[in-house]
Amino acid sequence: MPNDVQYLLLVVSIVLLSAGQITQKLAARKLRSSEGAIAAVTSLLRNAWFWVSGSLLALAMVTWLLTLSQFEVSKAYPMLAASFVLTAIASRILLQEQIGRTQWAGIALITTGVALMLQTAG
Amino acid sequence: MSARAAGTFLTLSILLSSVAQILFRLAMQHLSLTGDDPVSVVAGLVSNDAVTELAPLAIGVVCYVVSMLCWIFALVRFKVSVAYPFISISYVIVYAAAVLLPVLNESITWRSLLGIGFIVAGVCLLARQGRQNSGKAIS
Repeated sequence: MPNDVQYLLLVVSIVLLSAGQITQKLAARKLRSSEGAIAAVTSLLRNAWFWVSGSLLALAMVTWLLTLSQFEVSKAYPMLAASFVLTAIASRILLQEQIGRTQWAGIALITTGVALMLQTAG
Repeated sequence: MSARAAGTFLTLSILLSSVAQILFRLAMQHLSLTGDDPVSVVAGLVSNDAVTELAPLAIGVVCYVVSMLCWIFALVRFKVSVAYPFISISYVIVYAAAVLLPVLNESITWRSLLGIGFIVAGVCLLARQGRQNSGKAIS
């Protein structure tokens, strides 16, 4: 399998994970903190976003497992933080959350860190 | 949900996801994707040794799913901006475990240590602004 495929697996995992996180947030939003554990579980199971999120994360897990056949976990796992960058940008667009100066600095640090990890992971 | 219960869910989520990642790598480290044909990759996965590879995979999946549920319950109480920095703790746990466990025996490099430092700092910064600015608590 060509070398590009291992990076493609990593990128697809990151994108699916971000989509999973956004929909997970949408699922969590519908839960009320006053609910007991059983009521919370039943309301989760009737929540469509929970299932969308679950499917995306299940798919992400398959591509992630394949990614782990290619990279050391100590180097690959922290690179999943790139999904926070995608999630922050998607949250700004879809959930109207703000990205401040400090957050942009965080995005720059994560991107630098991922670039450093890539250089030892390949 | 009390802050203490949510904190327990958060801690469980971080520990279980760390264990899951170690088990996943344990299961996948010998899988070869060298055949271009996806069928042979799947065949390779299925023919893996049951005890040393399929068992860690199955236990890892269970840990991962339970960790995801714990995470959702933690999010009922905590804002994403508060909860996220805790995820970066699991990067450090997994790195240390992968390097220390003889069965994985992964390498320590200055570049990857620096990379982890940047990523952990970045995740904390990315979360901090949200905590200061956003009045949108979920709880």
